[in-house]
Amino acid sequence: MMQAVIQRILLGFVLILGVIVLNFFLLQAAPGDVVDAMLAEAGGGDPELAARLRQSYGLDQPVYIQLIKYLGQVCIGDLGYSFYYDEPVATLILSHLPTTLMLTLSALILAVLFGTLFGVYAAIKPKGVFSNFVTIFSLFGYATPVFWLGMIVLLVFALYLPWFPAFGIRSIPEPEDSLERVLDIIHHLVLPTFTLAVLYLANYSRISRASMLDVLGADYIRTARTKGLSERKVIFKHALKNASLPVVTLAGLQLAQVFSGAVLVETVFSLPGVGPLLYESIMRRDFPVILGVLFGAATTTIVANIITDLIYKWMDPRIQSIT
Amino acid sequence: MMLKRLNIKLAIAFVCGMLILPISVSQVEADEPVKGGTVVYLSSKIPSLNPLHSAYEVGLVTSQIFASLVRMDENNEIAPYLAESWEVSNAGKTYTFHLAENAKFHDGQPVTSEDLAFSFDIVKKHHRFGKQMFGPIDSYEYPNANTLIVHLSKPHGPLLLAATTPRQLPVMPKHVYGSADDFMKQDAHKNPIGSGPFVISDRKTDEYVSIARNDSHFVDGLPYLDKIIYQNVQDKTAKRIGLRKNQFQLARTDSVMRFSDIKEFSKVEHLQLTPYDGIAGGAIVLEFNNRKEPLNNKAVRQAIAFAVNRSQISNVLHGGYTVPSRSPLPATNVFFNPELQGYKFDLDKANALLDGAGYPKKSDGMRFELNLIYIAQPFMPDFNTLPAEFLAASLKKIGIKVKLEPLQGFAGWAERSAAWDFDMSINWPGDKTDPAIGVSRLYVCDNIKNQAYTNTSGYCDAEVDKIFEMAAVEPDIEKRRELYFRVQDILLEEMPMLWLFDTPSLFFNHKDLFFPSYGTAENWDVMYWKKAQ
Repeated sequence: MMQAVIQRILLGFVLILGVIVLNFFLLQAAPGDVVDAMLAEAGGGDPELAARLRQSYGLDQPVYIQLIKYLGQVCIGDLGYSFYYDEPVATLILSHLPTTLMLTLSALILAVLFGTLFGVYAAIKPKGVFSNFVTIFSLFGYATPVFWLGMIVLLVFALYLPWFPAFGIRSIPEPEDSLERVLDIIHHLVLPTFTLAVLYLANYSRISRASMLDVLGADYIRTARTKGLSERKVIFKHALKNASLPVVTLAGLQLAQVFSGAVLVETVFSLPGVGPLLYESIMRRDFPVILGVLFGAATTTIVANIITDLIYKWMDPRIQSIT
Repeated sequence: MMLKRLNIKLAIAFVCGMLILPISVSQVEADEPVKGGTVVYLSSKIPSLNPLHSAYEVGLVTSQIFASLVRMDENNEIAPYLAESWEVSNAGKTYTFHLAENAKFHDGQPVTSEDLAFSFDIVKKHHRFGKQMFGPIDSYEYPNANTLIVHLSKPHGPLLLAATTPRQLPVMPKHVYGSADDFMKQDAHKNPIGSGPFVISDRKTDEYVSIARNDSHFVDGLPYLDKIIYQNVQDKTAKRIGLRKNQFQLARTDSVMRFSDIKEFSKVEHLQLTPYDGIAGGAIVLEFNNRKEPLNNKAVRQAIAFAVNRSQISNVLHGGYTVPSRSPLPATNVFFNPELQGYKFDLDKANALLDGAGYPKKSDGMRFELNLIYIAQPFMPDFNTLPAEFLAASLKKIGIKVKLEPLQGFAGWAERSAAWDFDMSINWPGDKTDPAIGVSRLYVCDNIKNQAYTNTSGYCDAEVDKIFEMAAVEPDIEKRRELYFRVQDILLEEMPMLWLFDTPSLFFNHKDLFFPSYGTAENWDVMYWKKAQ
């Protein structure tokens, strides 16, 4: 078991290295660089200045030298310096990460919890009203573009019913009291979390409903019922544990996205998260930031996969024997 | 209006410290500036506080943190600021500046002639227009701590105009910014220290920047406001909600809405639409690649100019909020010739010109095909996508097929522009107040370079070069005007590019807020609330 984990971690490092190299070359293919973007944005500049800027950013060197330099830096934990933000990339990402994690993790937790419950109750009476509601709701959540949903949510709950703020992660100035500060942030996060959770939730309710229906028809459930177990025990103890494997798979996949998977929601609600940082950096060709965010995303994906595997083994002992 | 004007004058009186409070103060109490209060400005991202950063919004903040040498007053004339007075001598080759003695940086150190010389040098080297603005500066003399004598290698017309805004000449403390190896990379950009009316009070990257009044500002009585907050909002729906709900008291319309939406927002009770009333301007232009056939033919370029109904762009597509350009200079420029009318829409003339130039219509009704590059993002479609599509439809009528090539982001467009890889390109060059800084660069032969915003159209004419050169070194403003009038005539005839429409800036501000829309529209120390909020 331990050996398998170590193996996975080592493999992870190789993967991350591959991701960096691949991204590096992909970015070289993008038209223009950060100096083009900055000078064009400011409406001018002469070639000498452009050349000096490129030199100061190290962009005048051959690509392979830039790559080797970058890899060397990453090995000692330095993700480089953002040309656009005038700040080290690591600082920049760390300052944007809490917002993103608060948003994505709370949306994920809500979605897993409620999505699974919805699915389970829908599966108990697959032809009932609630089941139909879940199916339609899932379809809606699945098919709605998230930015559209965000806009509607904004209009309804920030303009017509002004219950929640339309932008940002906190009020300015922030409340003095630390408890109020926390409540203020939660207040700002309600709409974006709701929007993202609806999107996620659709997946979980669909999958858990289907999986529960499968499991409920299995022999061992009939056995459990004939033993005289209460329906509650049958559903939650016997059926759900097995039925939730696909849910774990999906949650694992989405856990991998917590780092940068909410670009649209963060943009619609003007949250200072990693998503808008990535978008902005792509528009400005701020390569160190793009590479840094992608590095973070790759690492999260690999870690999330390892965690998912471990949870699998714990939930389904059969998997242990296969590895 | 009269009262307001008077009151702006009052504000300027404080700035200059030269006029004595007129007795008529009590008569204008309706518009009396209230001291204090906060203004929230609807901003985009403010990535850095480096005063020479490329992002527009950064300059909006640093223009309050730093003071410039001189500034524009409400009549759009150059007025004292850090320099209390100055003399020009030696046939325009020597400038002597006398700095305000009570001017201090935010760390308490006095602003000295050494700081000024240091700032000139930094700007010359690192600013995007450093060379055009202060290139001829040769050497300095320091008679005392408050006097700087600047020697130029040749007379330089735009020098003072270039020094009117901290965007172009932020006067920086040498003891803070002078120690870094690379000016562009240093910690001081996180917490800038200037001598301007406001100091940085708080900042969260990609969220907001908040600045507070500098209590020991060297101009008595200013600034009026206690605080300005630059709130970053990305989404257009959220921006509009915030504007409607008075969460912002000041915003540029072009970052919030399209021209077609302005009318609706003008009806919001607490909002007032204020047009920019200064001298810096710009225009959206259709740049021709003058090297390539058939655009190397003057008649073809003129034909295109006749074929585009530009008043329709302004009046119909833009709801009347832009004006068709009448000259290579925007109508706001001091050297603009108001008698020029530009090309009038005339399809017959356009067709005749093309026939005469040897490009007859073929059997399919088309003469030739041209590509057109433009930035599809992140600008509002009003400035790029809409005109591009309108042009394609217009030119089709005279038998020119246009292949639209929308490009994503500044970088994609800048690369094509720099490589001269286009037939036509939609460009948005600003005039940077002085034609010697922002206009001549687009036409003179020695600025034909592989770099966006240089003379990428490849137009080259010895006479135009000569006039631009003479105008740049001419200290007398009337003589400069004559020269620029001449160059406008020549360029209108030659049509190296088609000047589509001037791009005025429009602002929404709270109706109780006085917003100084003159000069650079960035002298926010004289912005004030007319009623206590």
